[in-house]
Amino acid sequence: MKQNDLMVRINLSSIRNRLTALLVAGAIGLGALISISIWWVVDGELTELMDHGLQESAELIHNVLSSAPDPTHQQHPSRPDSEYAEHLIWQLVNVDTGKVIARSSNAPDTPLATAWHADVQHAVNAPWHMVTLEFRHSKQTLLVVAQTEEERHEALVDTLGYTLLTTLTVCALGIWAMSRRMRVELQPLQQLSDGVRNYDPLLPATAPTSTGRAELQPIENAIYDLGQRLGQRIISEQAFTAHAAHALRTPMAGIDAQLALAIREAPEALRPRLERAREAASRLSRVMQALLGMFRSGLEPRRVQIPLRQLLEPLGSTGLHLAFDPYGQIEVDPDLLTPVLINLLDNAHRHKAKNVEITVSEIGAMTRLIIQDDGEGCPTEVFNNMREALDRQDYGPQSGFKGLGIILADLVMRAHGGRTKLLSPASGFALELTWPRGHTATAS
Amino acid sequence: MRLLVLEDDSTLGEALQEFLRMDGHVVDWCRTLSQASVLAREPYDIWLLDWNLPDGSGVDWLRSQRIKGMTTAAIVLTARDQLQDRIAGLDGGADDFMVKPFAPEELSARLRAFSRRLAGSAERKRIGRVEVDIAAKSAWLNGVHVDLTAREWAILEALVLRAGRIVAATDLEALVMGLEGDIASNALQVHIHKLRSKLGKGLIETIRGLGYRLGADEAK
Repeated sequence: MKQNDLMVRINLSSIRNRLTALLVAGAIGLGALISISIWWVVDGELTELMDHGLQESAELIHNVLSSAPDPTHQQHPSRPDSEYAEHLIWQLVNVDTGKVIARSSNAPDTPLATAWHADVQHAVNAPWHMVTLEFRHSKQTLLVVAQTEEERHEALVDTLGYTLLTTLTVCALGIWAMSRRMRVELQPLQQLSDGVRNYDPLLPATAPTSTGRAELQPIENAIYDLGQRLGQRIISEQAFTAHAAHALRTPMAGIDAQLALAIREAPEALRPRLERAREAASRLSRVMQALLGMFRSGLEPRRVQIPLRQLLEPLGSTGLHLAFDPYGQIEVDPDLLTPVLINLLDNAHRHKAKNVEITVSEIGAMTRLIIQDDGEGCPTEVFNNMREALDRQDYGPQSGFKGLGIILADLVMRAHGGRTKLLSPASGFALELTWPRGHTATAS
Repeated sequence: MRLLVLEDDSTLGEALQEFLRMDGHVVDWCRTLSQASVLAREPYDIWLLDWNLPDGSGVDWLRSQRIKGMTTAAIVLTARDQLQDRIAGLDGGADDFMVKPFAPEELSARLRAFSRRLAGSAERKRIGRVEVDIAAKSAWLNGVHVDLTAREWAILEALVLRAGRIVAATDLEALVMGLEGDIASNALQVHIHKLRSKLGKGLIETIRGLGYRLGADEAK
């Protein structure tokens, strides 16, 4: 019960959430790593590819210009606006004068280079990447074909961006698919949990069915074995209780009947002594019934709707005046509650109570039964010890409990899913029993 | 009333027999079902049965007796305290169910309730000029209390509980004396004669060759 309370109080982490978080972190990390790797590879390859393209384009322009009658004698140093977007520009530079003698429409007026270089070069003080070619028949003329750095940078950024986006999209889709799959894969755990919740060890047919997962098979076997042992234990306890009931109840009935007979037959002077002996035997009998009740309180209560009067009227022989609503009804296992009431009334009687008031009320989905007497009550220290012991479910020798009544009440209430509480009346002693309604198994 | 106690525990059986005898009942006590099967042929007002007996289940035995048509009232006295036990006992033919340990005084009270029910009256039963209170074991003639001996009361009670029916002399002897009776052949007639002298001649009618009946005229 305490473990259950802890499970309710503490916000436990979910395996699915933990795995999903791990997957998200992993996917982001993996995506970044893949993107960096791709960028590193693509940067080199793309630069090489663009350099090669620039070189090829330059050679093509060189061939076109070489076939012209005299490329160095252009009528118009600047070509009219191109009807196409110019991603490449070209210049014809006179290396002797250092002037541009012809150029494409977007090319600058100033020469990007005034000397031939074998490799692709960056222009000095200009954002251009360029290739220079000489003309065989005109050594003083230099062809410069160039591409802006911005164009090259944009190509790289686009490539890297789309790669990163694609990677992250694939990872996100993977996470979504994995999360769905995880939900499906974790279903057997939920199925096992439901199966265990509905498992009654006394009914083998209710044992959890196999989830069909190899990893869960050992747990399923362990639960089944535990259920078998528990069921056997309950059966043994039930059998023991039945034997104990017969072995104890019949002799107790015999002792009481013999004493009742002796009281009738005895001389007047001897009767008080016999009556005391009978009262002691009666108390022993109540303790015995309480013990048998405790044996049963671990079992599932068999609740029925029962008039309060039917429960209490047979208990009216204790010399106490019982006050209760004659039309009150409660839903409870009468076989468990009766020994509780017997013991509580016996406690009241021993603590010099004359009147006991028993009230029943309904609070939401709970039934509340208060038993209050006008006896001498109990000392504050003992009362506090008992109240704390009840909270801890500590029935040990240090708990302050002198008899079985309150312990039995608490065990029976917990078997009903409820609890027992000591109240603080102005005088006397009061106990509150509360338990949930709505679990009636049989009605008779 | 004549009672059969079927109880294997000698401490309880013996005490119940004596206690109920002191209440004015005629009580026979046996310990096994085989003995009970023989005794069941005798006329009894109520059977008091234990559930667990050395040779079987008292409730199963009761069920078999009910199948045979026996209608004798039965109270099951048992150590079984569970709800399903009470249901099984009552479904098995028991009229009442008492869980051990019980106070014999409560059993006596239930027997008084049974006798009132068998007599068909909650309080006093009027038979002509005679009034009978089965629970209080008292009788009045014209409103005046009449003292009766135990035997006389037993005869009157047996006939009141069977009002309108003829009770064979042998059955009446058995109901009044039980198994341990050592009654002289004319003792019954003597007690009936005394009853008639105390409560009126018409109270008990003799049906020759058959037995006795509560006076038909008086009973009206």
